[in-house]
Amino acid sequence: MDVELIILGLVVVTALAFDFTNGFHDTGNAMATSIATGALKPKTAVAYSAILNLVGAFLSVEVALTVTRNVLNIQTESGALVEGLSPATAIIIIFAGLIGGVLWNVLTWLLGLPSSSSHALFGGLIGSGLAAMGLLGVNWGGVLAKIILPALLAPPIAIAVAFCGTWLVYRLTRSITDTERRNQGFRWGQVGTSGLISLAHGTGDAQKTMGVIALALIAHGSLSVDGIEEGGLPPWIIVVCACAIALGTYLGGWRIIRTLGKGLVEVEAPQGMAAEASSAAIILTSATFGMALSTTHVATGSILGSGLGRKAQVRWSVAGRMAVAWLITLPAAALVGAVSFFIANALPPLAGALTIFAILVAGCLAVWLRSRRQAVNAANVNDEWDAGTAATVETSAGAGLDSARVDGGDEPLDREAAKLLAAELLTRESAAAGSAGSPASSSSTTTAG
Amino acid sequence: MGLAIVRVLLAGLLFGAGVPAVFAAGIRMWAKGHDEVLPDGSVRRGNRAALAGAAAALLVTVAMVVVGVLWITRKSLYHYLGISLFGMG
Repeated sequence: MDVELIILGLVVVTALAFDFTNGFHDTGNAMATSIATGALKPKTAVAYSAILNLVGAFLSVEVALTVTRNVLNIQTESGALVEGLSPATAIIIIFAGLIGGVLWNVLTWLLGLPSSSSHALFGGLIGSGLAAMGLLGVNWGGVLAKIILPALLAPPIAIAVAFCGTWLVYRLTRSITDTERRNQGFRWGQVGTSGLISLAHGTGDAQKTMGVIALALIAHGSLSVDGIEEGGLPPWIIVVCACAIALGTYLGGWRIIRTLGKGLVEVEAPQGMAAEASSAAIILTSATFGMALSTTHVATGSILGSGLGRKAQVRWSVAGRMAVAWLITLPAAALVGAVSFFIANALPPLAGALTIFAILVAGCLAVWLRSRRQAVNAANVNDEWDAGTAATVETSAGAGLDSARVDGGDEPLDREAAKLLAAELLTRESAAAGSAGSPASSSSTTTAG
Repeated sequence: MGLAIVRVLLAGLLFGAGVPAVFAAGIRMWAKGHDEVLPDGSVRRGNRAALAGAAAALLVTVAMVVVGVLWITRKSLYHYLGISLFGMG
């Protein structure tokens, strides 16, 4: 087998691993409030969301072929590589960028933080593009207009809409004395709205991975832009991408679901319905109105706004940790992408690709092993939130909502996070000499507990 | 950009806050439309008109979910079935 084909295979596997993390990272956006209010049982919710993601991914007819143009200057308008960029370099840029995206996604999942998967991917690509081509490789205007501004605007818009919706819903139903009957009605509403978000997610997000895989195949020479324009994407790309995102969704990012459904604010059924309707409405209409907003930012903003709308206690320390994660997603993923590119570029092609792939596998494995120490799953996702353990669960603890601990409870986890980062850097160094372990897809499959 | 923000916010308020409000009004009328046993043991008779209103409101929200699904799948519907919705094609 020739070297180029092996590298291409690794890139495709890594892209699917990203698609998979994209699935479990975003399950909570659609399902967290439905799970928290009992509108859907945890397992039912993730299965429902997974099926709609699968259907949505198969329905995508547009190919996000120029997906990198948002942030990099490596593609022409038609989707082909720009002149002067060698295909081998382009493939490594994509590869290293994907590694940045995947590692950041699994790390934020470990911490139970809902950060944008698109930002992680774009961050990784920006980093590897910078490392490969310098400042000119990055489409700075695109980064500002397509990434940074929407990220700043999404939360306030979602908070405002969900706040109004929740306030109206509670105002209109306050005369109902039978709250259980009221909640039952709203739970049905939640099933509808969370389904819309899942379907929209499948049509939108799987496309990005399809676009990245198509770009890698174009760079390799096994696919041409004209060929895609005439006959569409090869069906296998659509099938594997759809399955990867659906499988990721089905495994459920329980840690993130827990943060969104229990950590940020306690969610009641009417409020959950208002939050999901707000998310669905903004996600479905924003692209049409010239501003594609991240599902994650919208969903989180909506849940926060819904909490404010019914004057519930919002855990601002949790919201603050999320905001920090959002701010550092781009640079952190970029750093990993850049380091991966430098490592791959410094070695012979095959050794370089195998090395960064080994780093990816080692990183995912380290995160997964760490996650086992405080597992979150379908059984304990709805347990009372204990501020001391933040995103993770201590089932034996007297887990009341002690407001005094809400603000002071973050330090232990942050220290853990620092330790984890240090450990990851160490593994990276030791892995640099090693060979590739098990395929990324299987190692990251296990990360979604 | 400013115009886009206003349009996204307005669409969000219309569909994201308006539709839940219609749904909530439906739930309220639904509760009014049914007989209710009051704390003193007497029974308050349900209001038939409210029940009809509830049905209408719930129908509107179900229709909005269907419109949402059609909106998400509008490109696929046009591509595979040639069905043109929302000005496609």
